[in-house]
Amino acid sequence: MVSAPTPVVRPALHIAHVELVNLSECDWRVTLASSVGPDARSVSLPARETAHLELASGDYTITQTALTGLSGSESTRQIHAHFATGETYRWRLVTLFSATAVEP
Amino acid sequence: MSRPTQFRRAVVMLKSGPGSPASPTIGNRSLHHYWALLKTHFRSVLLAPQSLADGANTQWTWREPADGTSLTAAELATVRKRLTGSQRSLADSVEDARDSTADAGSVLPQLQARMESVVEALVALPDSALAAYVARSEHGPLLHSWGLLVALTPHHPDNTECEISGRVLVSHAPAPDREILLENLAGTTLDRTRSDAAGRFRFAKVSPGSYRAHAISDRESFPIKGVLVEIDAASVEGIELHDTSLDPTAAASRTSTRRRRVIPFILFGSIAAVIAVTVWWRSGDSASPPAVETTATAPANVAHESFTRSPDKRAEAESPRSRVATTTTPNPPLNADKTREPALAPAVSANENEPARGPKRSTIVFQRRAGGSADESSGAPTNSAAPSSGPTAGTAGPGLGAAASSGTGVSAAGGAAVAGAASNGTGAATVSPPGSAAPSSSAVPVAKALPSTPARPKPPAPTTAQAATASHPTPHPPAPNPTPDEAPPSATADSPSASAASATPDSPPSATPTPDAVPEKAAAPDITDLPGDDRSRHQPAPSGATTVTSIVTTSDDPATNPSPDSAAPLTNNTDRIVGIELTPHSFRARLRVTPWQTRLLNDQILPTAPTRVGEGDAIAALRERLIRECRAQIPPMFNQPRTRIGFAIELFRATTTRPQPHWIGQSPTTTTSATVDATHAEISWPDNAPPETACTLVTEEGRELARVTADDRGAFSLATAIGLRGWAWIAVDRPTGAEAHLTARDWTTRLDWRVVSGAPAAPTWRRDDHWLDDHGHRLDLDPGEKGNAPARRTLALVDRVSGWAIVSDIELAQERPDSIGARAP
Repeated sequence: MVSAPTPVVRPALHIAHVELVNLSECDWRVTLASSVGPDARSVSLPARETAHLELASGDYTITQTALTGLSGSESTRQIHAHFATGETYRWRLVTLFSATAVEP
Repeated sequence: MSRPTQFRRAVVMLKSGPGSPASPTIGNRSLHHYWALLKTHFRSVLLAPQSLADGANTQWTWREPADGTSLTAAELATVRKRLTGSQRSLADSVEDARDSTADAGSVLPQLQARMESVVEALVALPDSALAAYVARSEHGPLLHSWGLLVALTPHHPDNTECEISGRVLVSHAPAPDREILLENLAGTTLDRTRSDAAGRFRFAKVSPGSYRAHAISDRESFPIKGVLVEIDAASVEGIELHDTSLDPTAAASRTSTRRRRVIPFILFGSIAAVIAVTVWWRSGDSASPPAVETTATAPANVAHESFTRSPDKRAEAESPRSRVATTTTPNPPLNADKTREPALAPAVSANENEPARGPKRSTIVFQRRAGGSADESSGAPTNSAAPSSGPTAGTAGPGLGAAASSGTGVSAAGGAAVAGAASNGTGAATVSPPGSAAPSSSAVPVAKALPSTPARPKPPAPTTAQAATASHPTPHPPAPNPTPDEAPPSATADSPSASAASATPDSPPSATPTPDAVPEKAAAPDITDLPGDDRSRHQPAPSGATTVTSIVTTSDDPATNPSPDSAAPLTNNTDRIVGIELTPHSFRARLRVTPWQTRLLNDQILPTAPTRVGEGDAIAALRERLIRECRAQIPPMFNQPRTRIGFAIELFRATTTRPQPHWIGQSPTTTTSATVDATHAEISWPDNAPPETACTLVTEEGRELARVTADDRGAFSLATAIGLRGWAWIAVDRPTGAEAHLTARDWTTRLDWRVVSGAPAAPTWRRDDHWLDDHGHRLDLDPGEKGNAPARRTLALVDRVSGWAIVSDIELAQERPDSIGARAP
């Protein structure tokens, strides 16, 4: 007798949604590296465009690099962020000169 | 033991008009007007004709042995040989020009043909007739009166004594007890006297020459230029020295009215100022002569008092260098030894046969007397900050203290300003410092990358220029009115026409992208060739480094500065300023600079972070904080930038052998700085200089070499005479003590001149980070020989470290008139 297969209950993915909003005239490359794994996501974001990411929740080291419009050491910045499961985050990429165009 | 040879001055004058020998002409110009083109070939045998400023009369002067030894047949044979050789040289030159220059054939062949006939006629003369043309000059036998059918008879003006007399009139009434000064054209006071009860005055024992007589009084204003008097062979009587109250013009009326209103208030101050200046001057500070003020109470005349008791007025009157001698401390009095230093008539070219002297530098500073009456008389806008902050006579500083403050202070935190800068911040073209090590690793010290650095001419680079002219003899047709004085480029060997191309860079600078520039945007060439020995050249008037030699001002108020035509009821007003004819050989530049604004040019990442949707990310607050941080990094020199705008006129080493030109200002301000040295002349103002400024670079005879004007819109214009090249420059002062821990070299590395928008930088622009004794940064907008087409640019001086800059919109055109005309509709 063959028993009915036991449904596999997969654990729910711990996903966080991240929205990258480029409000500047710069083209950006954003690299998100999980602090617990080797994987990293890299996203290119042209000027004034928006990208949506789904990331495993957790802590990340994020490197923000301006591909155009900035120069020297001022063109790269690194931050740490925590993305909680099920949450949606928005990150607005802005430069000093583009700040006036930011809406509240 | 032989006695030293005694020399005396000899003069022949060719006057236009009936009874005078006719001068040969080319077209409607006298042959002598083309001396600039001839002297390269004929200087060894012909005396330079000296065209007087009236444009009609010509003279030849020389110094000859007083013993009157006659010429030998061998000497006359040598003269004939030199004449034919010189003519051959001219013919060869014209032939070469025909081959190389398309338009050179228009005038030069005529000139050659005319000279051929002149030379043939002279050579064919018998010895006795030829001897009448030969001047036994210090430099050997040279011909005067050349081109004339009959040789003029020399006279010896030092043996002649005349007198000058007249009256002083105040409101048409004789004015007793007014002081009258007699000056030479260089401004040296030769004698002074006082009017008697009938207002009469008289100067006795005046030798022939050009003089200026003017009255001074603390009660009335007299024209500072006075009346010009030319003594030829007879006395001049009947001079009337009027006060300025008679001028009928509205401006004068307004001035007088205003003056009457404020007389009770300014009288005491004026008297006190004059007394103070007099006492100060008499105290012996000869290196710091007080300023002349346009209402003509003329403290400058007091400055010349050391010469007022000279028993012999001849040498000072005739010596074109006496200006230098009057007040110069470091420079020796050039006319002190009259046996060695010829006391020439107020003409230039007699000196062309002399060897060059070492360069000397002189500085002229315009300064108003305290009390501001210059403004009243001239109608010029008052720069309220100027009197206290401008350069004082003697220090001759650039007077940057009050400069440009009105043009600054644009809020660095203002979003619009910052955003505007952002849009301009890309694609910047950079004018890099010489050999500077840019912070970016991609930066290349261009000075090292330019092996041909020495070949790039600095603005006053006579050596290079002469070398270039020697190798590129490209004659141009002479200008319609090329008087000898207007062609000073080459008293040594080069023709004036050839010198026009002399400063062409031998090797154009390489184009190097700025380290900060966006890669895809083409960067303008870096301008890096500024040798270290250049530092003294661009200083407008560093304290102690230069010598105040004279103070010359005139007013644009006809009441106080009547035009020579109207003021001189006398003959032969040789001091009349001759207007520049903008021929194809002259040069002009126009520059307009908007007020400098302080801006942050380097964009920065705003430190935002991911936030949950619905939560604020405080961008506005972040921005404000970042701006605050940025503002703390503004270099002090950018807070209230003290900027300056100026013009340089390239002179030539030939000027060391002749009287140096000097600046005359109309409506000069206390912040006007003017210098003249052996190789170039400069004049500058803070870039907020009052409008309608006009200054003229003139020779001792009053012939214009260059004129700089500023119109009521703040646009500066430069026009130069034939053969002279000029250019505009801008500069920023770096106050002493500002970030004292940084050396001048540090600043050279930190600062960049960039064209952030508009036309790219011209490859001939040069930066000078040694300006003001390493306390200023200057950009010479040298257009090179080809000129710059009219263009607008946004120019910035950028601090690489902080990203801050001072920015100005600049309209610049530097062209020859022919090219301007070609572009005009």
